[in-house]
Amino acid sequence: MKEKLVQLDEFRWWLDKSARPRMNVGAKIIGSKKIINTLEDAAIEQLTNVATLPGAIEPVLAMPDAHWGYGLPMGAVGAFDAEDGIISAGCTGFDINCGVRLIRTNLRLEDVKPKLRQLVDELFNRVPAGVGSKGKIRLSEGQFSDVIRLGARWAIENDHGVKEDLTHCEEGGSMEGAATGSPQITEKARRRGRPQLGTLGAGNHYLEVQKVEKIFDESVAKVFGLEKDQIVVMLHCGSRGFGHQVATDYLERMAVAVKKYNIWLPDQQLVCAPATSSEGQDYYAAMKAAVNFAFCNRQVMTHWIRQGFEAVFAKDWESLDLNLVYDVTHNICKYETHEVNGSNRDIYVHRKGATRAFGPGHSKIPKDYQSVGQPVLIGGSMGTASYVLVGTEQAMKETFGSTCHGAGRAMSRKAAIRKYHGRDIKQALESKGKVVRSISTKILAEEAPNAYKDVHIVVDSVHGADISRKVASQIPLGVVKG
Amino acid sequence: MDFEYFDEITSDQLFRAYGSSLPEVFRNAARAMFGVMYDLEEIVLDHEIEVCAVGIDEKHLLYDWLSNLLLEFEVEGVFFADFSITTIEETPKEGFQLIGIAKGSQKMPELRTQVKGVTLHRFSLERVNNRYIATVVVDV
Repeated sequence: MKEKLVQLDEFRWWLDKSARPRMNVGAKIIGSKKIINTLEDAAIEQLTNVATLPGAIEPVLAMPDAHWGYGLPMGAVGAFDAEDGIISAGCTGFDINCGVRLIRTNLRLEDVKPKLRQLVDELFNRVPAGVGSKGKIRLSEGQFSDVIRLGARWAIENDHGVKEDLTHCEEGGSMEGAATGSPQITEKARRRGRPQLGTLGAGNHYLEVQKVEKIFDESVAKVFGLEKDQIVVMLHCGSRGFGHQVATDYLERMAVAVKKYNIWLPDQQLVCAPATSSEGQDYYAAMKAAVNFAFCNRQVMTHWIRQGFEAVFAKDWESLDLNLVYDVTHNICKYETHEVNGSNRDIYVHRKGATRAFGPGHSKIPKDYQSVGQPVLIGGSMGTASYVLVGTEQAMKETFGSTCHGAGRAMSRKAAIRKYHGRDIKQALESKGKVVRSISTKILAEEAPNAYKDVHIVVDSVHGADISRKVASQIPLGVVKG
Repeated sequence: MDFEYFDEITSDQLFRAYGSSLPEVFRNAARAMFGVMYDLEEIVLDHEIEVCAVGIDEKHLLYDWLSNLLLEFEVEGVFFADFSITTIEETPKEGFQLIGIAKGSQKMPELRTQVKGVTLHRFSLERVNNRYIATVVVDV
């Protein structure tokens, strides 16, 4: 399939809808030649699969961090007409509202360095991590309904943050219209989700204490409250077992729906339902509940991170300026309005391993960021650099206001485990002065930095294509993992 | 061979499980799934939980079985390592029903990763020459 790609410019590649039968629209890949050289053919084929779905809007997009996943590749965007198109649980994936938030501080490296181990230990002890981990918060059935209805607002109303946190979250930390019970939300999903609020999870999720290494755009960095050598905290996690179960439930339900509505699928993982159908709308309401759970999850942990800093630095978090820069989601389906062929259209944008990147002036971004655009938070692989980017007008015109989400895997998990040992990875990171705490050492092997693409090349591609621009990069000092 | 892992998919884990009967392939697929997360040999089997599943056909029954095991693993905090199928029945109205036992321990082993869910990507259950082959990709 790769041989059918046509290079449009240094960072853009086009796959015409004639590339294979049944494609309704063409596909575009954002990335340098180097990115294309390493992109699996199977990932390109997965883009063509999505292009066959009803109501697809041109183009189906792959970002430079794209790699072969299940259904839609990780690092991809699929948009569908809100009337004639579909909503797909398969395209969104299991980790609904997996996302990243960045918390700034007014601390510098010299403040943190002598206390780094104590700080990382404090955060590790306060934020429950690991497979199947259970949180410190015990929720009644009614409280759980409130969490999935209100999202981060629930946390604020229950003294786990301040109102200003909400304005610095995508969707204000809460999507309206979330379902809370039967038939949209199953008992299984509620049972799986209820004990897990306030947990980091495992796998690629992490909490990092980082130092701002480089500023690329002084004026935008200033608006986001970032400067060189500043200490910041990045939190990467999602909707945990609740979101995983919502996805599981709707994969089963939509597998029935595709037969009912006679939708042809090239890959059964792309199960979907017409956007206006009861199955489609039920999924959207259930997905919003999982989105809200994830926003609340990150907010609750933010509160504990602040408490951890307070304990170590013996000051309140307000004095330490532990304010939220932003919270973005990178696994979601959103009802949005975008200009398509010169007119506004209502569409469902599926971002799977892709980040919203709205440009300046958009009504959906916080007032204090209106002049520059939405912050885009890019988590690198464990122990490597992360980035803060800013959304652009070009993203609005070209990618349904979307950009990349991270480094993207370059090596399979089993291959990483064969090649690396967790203890060696930990030693290598600690020899560079970084402090690593994890529930399991083995988990570090699978997330070895070299198992991922080079985040710099990924970010250079989206910057080069101008679908988001570099503002700052950060390097980790301390890592907490499941 | 009970099951084997394949590297093909970069971000997720593909495995195939085998069995001479439906109960055997269901057991081996479950062992393969939990073997993605930790070494099964590390687990002392001192806990048992009954797990049920339903499906319109055998393939969907397998999907529901694996998904329900993940749910029980997280909710009950038991690290499963072996499984037995008590009954698999086909009913005229409701399709297939399964009752099984999942065995494991609440003592946490060293974890490699977390399985988030069972995908439908390449998901299949075939019968080839009296041997069942389950192909499964789990999201990790």
